[in-house]
Amino acid sequence: MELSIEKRGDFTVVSITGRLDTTTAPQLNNELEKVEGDGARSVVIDCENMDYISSSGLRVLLVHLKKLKGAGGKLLLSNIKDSIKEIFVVSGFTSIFSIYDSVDDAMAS
Amino acid sequence: MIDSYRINIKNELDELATVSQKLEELTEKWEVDMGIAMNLSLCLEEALTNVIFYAYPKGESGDILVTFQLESGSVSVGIEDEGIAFNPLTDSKEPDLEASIEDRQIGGLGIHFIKQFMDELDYQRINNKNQIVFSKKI
Repeated sequence: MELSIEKRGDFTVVSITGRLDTTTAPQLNNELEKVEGDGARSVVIDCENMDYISSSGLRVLLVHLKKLKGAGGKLLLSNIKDSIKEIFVVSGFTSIFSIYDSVDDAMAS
Repeated sequence: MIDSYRINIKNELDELATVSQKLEELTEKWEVDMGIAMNLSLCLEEALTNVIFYAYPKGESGDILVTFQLESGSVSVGIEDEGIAFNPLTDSKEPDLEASIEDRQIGGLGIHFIKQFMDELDYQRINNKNQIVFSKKI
């Protein structure tokens, strides 16, 4: 998995490429802790190039959604591929996360 | 076509990549639909991660046998360990999918995925071994 971080106005966009699984989830967790530590409160996780996610990846997203919301911020998701959307549906995450078709849509919300 | 593959691993997280890679190679060889292959990969990770993390006492090395099998019309994955008894059908708490963000817990999602994405999930405790087998029609 590869992560790229981009600051866009008030938003921090974290783009995931590859597999977000049990072995790579800690890397995303560390990166999100870092951007939150640097003061980020509005985070978009761009999933355009994310090929796979397991419950370990979902756990990291949930932890940081709670953390950012608790701090008055937000964590939004964008560009989830159809092939993995079902995992979000089956996990019930579509009702707790705000999911957008693009990073721009997320930032405009 | 009927085909099968067995791999013995230790209860170490590094083994996950090796086993996932093997399943990917096999599902390609067996010409399994990509969506089904991804669901098999997901369920393998969820089941195997549970065994690696929880079957054996912390710090204790343990053996795990993983089998992949192509039968007529289905692919099955078997995971066998000699750790503490755990029946995913009865010992796993169903996640509360309706819970609010604040109350939402992540526990139980892995087994929930296997129940939802696979057609069959069986568990047996034989000779002090946990044997989980799940399968998907192809």
